[in-house]
Amino acid sequence: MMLAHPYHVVTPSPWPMASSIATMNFMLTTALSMHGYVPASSNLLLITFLVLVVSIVLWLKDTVIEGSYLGVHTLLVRRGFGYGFNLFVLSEVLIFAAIFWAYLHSAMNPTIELGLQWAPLDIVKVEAMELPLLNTILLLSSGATVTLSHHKWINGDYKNSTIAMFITTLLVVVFVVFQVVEYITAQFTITDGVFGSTFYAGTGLHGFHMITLILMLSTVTVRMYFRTFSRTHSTNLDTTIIYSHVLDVIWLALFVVFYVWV
Amino acid sequence: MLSRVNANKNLLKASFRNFSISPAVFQNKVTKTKTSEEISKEYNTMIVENVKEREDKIKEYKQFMKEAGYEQTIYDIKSSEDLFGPGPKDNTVPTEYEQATGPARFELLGKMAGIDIFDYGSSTPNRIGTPQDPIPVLSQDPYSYVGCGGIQDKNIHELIYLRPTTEEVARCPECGQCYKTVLVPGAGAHGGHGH
Amino acid sequence: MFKNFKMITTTNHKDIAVLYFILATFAAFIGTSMSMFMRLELIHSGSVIINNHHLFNSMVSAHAIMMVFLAIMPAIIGAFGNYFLPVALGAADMAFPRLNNVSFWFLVPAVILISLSALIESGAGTGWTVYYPLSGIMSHSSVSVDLVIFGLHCTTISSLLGAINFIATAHNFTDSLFRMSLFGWAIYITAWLLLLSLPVLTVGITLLLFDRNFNTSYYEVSGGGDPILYQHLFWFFGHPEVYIMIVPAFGIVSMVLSAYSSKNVFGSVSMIYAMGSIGMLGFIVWVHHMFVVGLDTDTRAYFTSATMIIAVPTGIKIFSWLATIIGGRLRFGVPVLFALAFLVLFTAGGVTGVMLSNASVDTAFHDTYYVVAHFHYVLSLGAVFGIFTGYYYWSPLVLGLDYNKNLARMHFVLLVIGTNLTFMPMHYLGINGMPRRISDYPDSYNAWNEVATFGALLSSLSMFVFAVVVERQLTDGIRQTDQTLTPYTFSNKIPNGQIEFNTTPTPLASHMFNSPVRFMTTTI
Repeated sequence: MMLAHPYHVVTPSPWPMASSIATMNFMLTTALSMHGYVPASSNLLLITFLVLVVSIVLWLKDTVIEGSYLGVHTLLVRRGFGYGFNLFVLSEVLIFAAIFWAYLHSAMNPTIELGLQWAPLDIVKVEAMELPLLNTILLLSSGATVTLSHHKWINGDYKNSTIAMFITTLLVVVFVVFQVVEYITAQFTITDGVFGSTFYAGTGLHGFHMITLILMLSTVTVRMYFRTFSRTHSTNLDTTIIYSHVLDVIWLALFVVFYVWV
Repeated sequence: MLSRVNANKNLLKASFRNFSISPAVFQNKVTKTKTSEEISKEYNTMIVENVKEREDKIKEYKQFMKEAGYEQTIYDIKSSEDLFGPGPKDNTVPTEYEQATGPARFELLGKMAGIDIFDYGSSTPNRIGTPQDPIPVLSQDPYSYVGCGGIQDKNIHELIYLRPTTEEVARCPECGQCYKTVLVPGAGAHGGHGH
Repeated sequence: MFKNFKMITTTNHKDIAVLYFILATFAAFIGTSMSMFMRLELIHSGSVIINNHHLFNSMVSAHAIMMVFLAIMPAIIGAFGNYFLPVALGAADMAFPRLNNVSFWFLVPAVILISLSALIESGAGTGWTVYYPLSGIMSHSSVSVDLVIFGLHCTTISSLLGAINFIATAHNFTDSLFRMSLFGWAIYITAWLLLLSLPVLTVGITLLLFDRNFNTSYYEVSGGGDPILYQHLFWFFGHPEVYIMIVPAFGIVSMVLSAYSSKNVFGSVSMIYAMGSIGMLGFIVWVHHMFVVGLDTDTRAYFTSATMIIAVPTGIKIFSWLATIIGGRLRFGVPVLFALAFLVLFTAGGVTGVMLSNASVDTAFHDTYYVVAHFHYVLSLGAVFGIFTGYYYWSPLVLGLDYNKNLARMHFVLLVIGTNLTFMPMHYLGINGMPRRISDYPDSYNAWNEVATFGALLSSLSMFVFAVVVERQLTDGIRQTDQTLTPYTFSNKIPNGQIEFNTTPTPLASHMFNSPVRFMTTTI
């Protein structure tokens, strides 16, 4: 199709309504499950979650088709994606800022109930220089490999860039696995006072975003392998890389404030 | 990452040019002020008169591109079915020329030929329209809507919407420019009476 | 049954704006009926229509959430912003048209979830601020508060994605932001406020959800947490939220006053700076909602001063509007009535706000009807009047149909008298110490409460008049022919055949700017 203007006038699409109704179902199910109205055997929570994921995936699939196969992502549209994703990242940074606020609100003024110290009395904190340090190194390495992959892609080295992106994905997977190990072996849970709550809120939200990042990185690896990007037109790649760098920086902040400073 | 962002920016910057409201593809034709009737006539007759000159130029360009390795040029595009790339060679990273499709490809081919398809440039005209010599706004209907943004470099102002017609000149109350609609052959924006 | 699924799947910003407006009107009627419920109960002391005070509290919360998140914001940002930001830029549509649609569609779950929260079990009797520990699991063990939280999540997602869309559109689709009209700037600034404040609300209410259901201790004192943290997180959003509601109304009033006095807005650049500084300052004053929780004096002193400073750019705007009118010839069309009323009444609300900004005075005023009077003056007589101004100014353009001016004037008169009768006495009630969010009061407050309830009846009557105005407009509204909306087109008449923009699901390629295409084209 040809256009006289560089804007992408999107054709009508059912995915917005589908995603919002799916979200409503998921939220209703969550709320009702939390109060005992939904039997566990019905798997309703899992089903509604999957429906939500599927509707979002189908939406993104449409976007990919419009971009790579229909070619409507002109330079102007690509620049718009840049703006949009950066703004989204800014809002995510603010979410983490609010969580840091919650953490520091209690951490800088530990109350009587905590024994007037942070980490609270009798909480066995996670040793910062053990598993968390390893996780930090993993993430920094994944940042390096993803940059390597990107530069190789731009310069035309197909084989090495795909391998580097695959390694990045693996590193992030290992990070998440190690976080799970840390959660399992930690001596406190999310219900252990405000320390446990804020600790798991911060690291948990970060971990949730890392799982999303795994999905994004694996998508990008597969798309790189099948060469559906070109050297200069790769919005998916750009956004994934920005996302991974931002999560990396957030982890560094988490590491310093939640692990080392404690 | 930054190099990627800058590459995109540079591509865009390279295409920002002064936009002069002229239907001519070869932009530097408009040097003196013309009446809108003259311009319309020029547009309609350009196709007829300068065919030979255009064809020679195009042949020269196509030859040049073929030697550089690009089989398809903007002048090869006859319909939207032609907007496909040759595809990448085995085990290489595709380039944009090999892979782009659709309007993005059209834009790319245009840039390679030095033509700014979508006119990313400023939308303020490069001359001042007077009541005797208004800025022509080409339209397939006897009217059009114009958002006057001012006079380039001198008076950029908030968009003021005007409705020039083929009979009446519309004058912007902020900067005083005049616009007039010029009818261009076509079926009309609404597909004529077919709707 | 349906010819096509256009209204569910549209990506056209004008269609979506119309959808937003319909939802906003629906939610406004629900919110009004809830407020009527409250005013009827408060007509005199003692139980009037209900014995169940928890139900009253649930109506308090639901009324506020319906009005703020589902009536005012969709109407002023969703409807007017979506329709006119691309127009103000001269752009084809928004930057992300499908995302625009999802922003609208997330409000449907929000309406459903909030309504359900009021209907299931006992309702959320916490107030719209949902403070802990009243909203904790010990005090509100039913699912209502959780549904409120999820409803707010839906409105947050809607507004956040919308804000991203607006900002990306503004930056991407024009080479100079200074081409935008003042309304475009208002929407742009509002979008930045939304983007930066909503994430903090999300965290605040999500942590509340966790505290209620997963035994965490973010706000629970026995676990070492702090309920004041919730208040901080909520009001860090809550204060920019009120600017989010009013800044687009500023934009609308600017457009209307300049159009009807045939003059440019006085000092339009300083108007933009004023809106920008109101927005930025709005982020550093949130503690003025928490003056009585026991913060130390220096904190309260800072926030008192910072809050009072916001009055300065706001005053600049009011004076600029006055300077716009004076020296021009004001044509008293219906939008102008609402705009002038806005000027007077918003100023009145603003000065009571300055009173409340003093931490010392606020100790007497906090949680009394003085606060209720203040924010209803600035919202119900500010933002809502802005919405009606915008509706009467732009609906002939959008629909291509005239409204009955006499009916509209009747709506205006009823609304002004009704709302003033409702909220003016609340100042006296508040000064004399009547607390808010309580469904009964001592007999001495009887008189002014009766006046307030009478005013509320008048206001809801005016809503019905508005419904009649709209219905008459849609069925019998004469298509405008020669009447111009602005005197800006000296030699033109603008017939309002703008309806043509509404008959296609997407703007046609060759329709944009009515210019011919240089190369071959097939329409989409």
